[in-house]
Amino acid sequence: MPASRFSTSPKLPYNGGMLTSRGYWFFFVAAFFLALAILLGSTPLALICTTLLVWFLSQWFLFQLRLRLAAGRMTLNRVLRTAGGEATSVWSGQKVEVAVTLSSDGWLALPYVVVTDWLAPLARLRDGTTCVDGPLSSESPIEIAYTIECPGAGWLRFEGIKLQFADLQGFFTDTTFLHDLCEYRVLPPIVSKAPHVAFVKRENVLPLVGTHRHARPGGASELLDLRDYIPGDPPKMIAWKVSARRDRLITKELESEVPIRCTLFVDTSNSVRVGPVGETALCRLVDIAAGVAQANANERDLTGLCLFDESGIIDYVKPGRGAKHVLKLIGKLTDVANLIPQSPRATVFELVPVAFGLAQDVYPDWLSEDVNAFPFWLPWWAPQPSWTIPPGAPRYFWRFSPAYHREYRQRKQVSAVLSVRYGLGPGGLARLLEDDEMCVAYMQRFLAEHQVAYPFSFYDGQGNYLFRSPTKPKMLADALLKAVLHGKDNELFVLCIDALENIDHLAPLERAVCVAKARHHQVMVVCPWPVGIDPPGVKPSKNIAEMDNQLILQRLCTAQFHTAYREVRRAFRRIGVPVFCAGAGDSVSQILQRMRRLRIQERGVR
Amino acid sequence: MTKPADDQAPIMTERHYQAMSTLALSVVILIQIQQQATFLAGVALFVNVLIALVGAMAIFYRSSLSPLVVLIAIAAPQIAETFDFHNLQFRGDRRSMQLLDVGEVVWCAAVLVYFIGQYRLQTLWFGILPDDARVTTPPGEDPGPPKVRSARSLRPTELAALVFAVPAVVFFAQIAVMVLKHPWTFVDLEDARWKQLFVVAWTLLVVMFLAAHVFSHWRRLQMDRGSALLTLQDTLWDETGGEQRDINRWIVWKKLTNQQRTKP
Repeated sequence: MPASRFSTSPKLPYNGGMLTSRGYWFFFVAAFFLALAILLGSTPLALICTTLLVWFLSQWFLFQLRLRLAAGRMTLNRVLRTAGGEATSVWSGQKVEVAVTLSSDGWLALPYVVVTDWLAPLARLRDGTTCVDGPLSSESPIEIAYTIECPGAGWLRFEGIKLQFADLQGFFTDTTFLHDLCEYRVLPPIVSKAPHVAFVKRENVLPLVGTHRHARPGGASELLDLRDYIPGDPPKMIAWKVSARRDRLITKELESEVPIRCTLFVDTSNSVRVGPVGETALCRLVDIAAGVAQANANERDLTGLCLFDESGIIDYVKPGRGAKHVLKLIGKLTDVANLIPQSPRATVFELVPVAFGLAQDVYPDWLSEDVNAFPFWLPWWAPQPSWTIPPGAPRYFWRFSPAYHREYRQRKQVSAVLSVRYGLGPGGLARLLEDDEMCVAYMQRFLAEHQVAYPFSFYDGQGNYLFRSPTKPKMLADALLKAVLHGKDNELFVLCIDALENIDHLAPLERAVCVAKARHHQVMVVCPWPVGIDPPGVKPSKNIAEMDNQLILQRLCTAQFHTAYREVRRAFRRIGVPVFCAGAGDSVSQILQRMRRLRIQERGVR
Repeated sequence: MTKPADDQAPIMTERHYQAMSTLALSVVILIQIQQQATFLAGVALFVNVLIALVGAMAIFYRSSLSPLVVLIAIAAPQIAETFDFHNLQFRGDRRSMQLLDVGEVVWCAAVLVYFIGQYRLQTLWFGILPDDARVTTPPGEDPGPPKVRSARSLRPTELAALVFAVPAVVFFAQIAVMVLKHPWTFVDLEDARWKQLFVVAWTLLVVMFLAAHVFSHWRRLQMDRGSALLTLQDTLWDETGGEQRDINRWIVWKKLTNQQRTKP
């Protein structure tokens, strides 16, 4: 499973203390020798030690003075540049240069600052470094420049920069975070090759509406067919020359100009959100949906979008065309691309280290003892009673356990941060400390807002799929029926749904698909595929005898996924619906090619 | 990339600090040899050679030896000088101290410069910030280079500032020791040395306590809204934590019980 960017190591985390161990040792050794010199009456030694101590204290005083004078006087400027200049939104896969400038207008320079830019979770560093050190003064700002690339669509979220101050000897240090939230939209990649092949009217610069050969009689100007005259046909449609040749009345049939409609149903539930930010199955679905929307826009076809999850329909955009409509669709897809999974089965035990790690990096000032103290005796004096812990959650049976003490301390400090951040009021801290479910919900929200993905497993210890959602197919079926109700002819419904391990609950969806097909619509299913799991058809490379336990577990998980995929495919094949896997093998163009083939088959174009 | 402060400024490297430390160490040794004439010549020579070896190793061979080892090496002969080997007891220093004695001032300044140079070299070689305990290296993998101070962050002004800072510190230290030698009467202790120690300890504690509180108060004045809210929340929780805990535990118990009942 994908790992979090935060360590969940049991070690005590680094906390930006004021005095380093080097400083402690220096002070205590110098003070010890001063005391010894005084007691033994050695004036030269007393003089040396006093000199060292005066210097040490002056350094401490200067360090503190500089910090206080610099606080609130630092400004941050961030610019994103692409090949086309300064950018406010970027494309996924595009190389972007990030330039960050930290300047200070304080009149006392800071001798040494380590500036670390908080790399947006969606970004992948390609060149340069996010960490730079040096002195900071009003004359010499610190600049960071690096190049990033985004693997998927979503939002680039830059929280700010981490600042670590130190004196030149490394005796004193302090850590803070300069918040400067900047968000940039990352658009899905542009489909460079138009998968639709316009096979008529190539001479037109702007394709006409419904340029596909359309085997239906309509009111267009292109001739579709000739047929015998039926009483009631308008006289202007009679092909007089052909009628004269055949010696009977023949009527012309013209092509229809009704455009093709395509509605995309995109699953945004928790199961497709699992994985590293930007590389989830949802990102892949977003890429596919955006590609289809762009390709349809090139053909001036209409594209609709329905976003749904376990709880219901999130958003519905009825089919439309035009650049504005496509931008609207892409905007909606971008907004959901970076959603972080939230599991009701997550526990405080799992989430506290990750949330605490995030708070340490982004809110170090809110964890200092001055504002967020923790009485060390509290876990021993008032441990959480077992009758307030939800059943099934891991618990500590010994209140004096160091691991329990650490978790209690981290939970208290994180709860205090969450209570202030979400405005829970004066009693929020105590409530979060006692209520596990509430604490889990707020920690998940906290992590999701900062786009921090944490490790998730798909199956529990008994082999049950943790993201099984029996209500999802029913909700999609309702949405599909609604779309069919309002749909026009020749509509194509693309269902991007994670139906794995939901075979027993697919009946409502199958019925809805049958209704759609009965109304002469076409339906296809795209099955999202988790990252890190081999797509169906890929043969495992290693012999099982050569693998370690983790690989064997992964192989078993992959096998379970393949079995579930086969069952879904079989279930839909029964009703004549093709199922495709959105794994690495199936690119957007391949899926669009299949869609085109479906359309051609439907229209009977030979 | 750090923007250079001045393109015309001379490039500053670790060699400057090495040269500075070497010079300071040489001065220390020369003055010590001169001052320790009363001490056994052979022992003095041995001690100074030892200091030179330890100091040179720390300067030139990137040894992780703490500069405090040099302090111990400097302190040892000074303590030995106060010991009366005939009566086997400490007799104290018989030399009288003069304010701003050239030899002592230069000696103190040299020791201070050596320490400054050595500690700054250590930040270039072994790191300036404490390691982050959360960053773990899997066994068998290279932990990578330590997070040291980069060479490009060095500025010539660092050395220039020492020209004023070192004499000032040495001057204040001389004044402080002169004040310490003053026969204080406000402490009712028989032994003058314990009296001095008492004065030093109290002065250090009071100065640090006051300064720490002034800076702490200043920090509170600069707090952002979130930190101020956290402080208030923490104070409330500290004072009413027990009551809040009891109330919330009963609420949670009731919630869990209801969930158990409604579960099919």
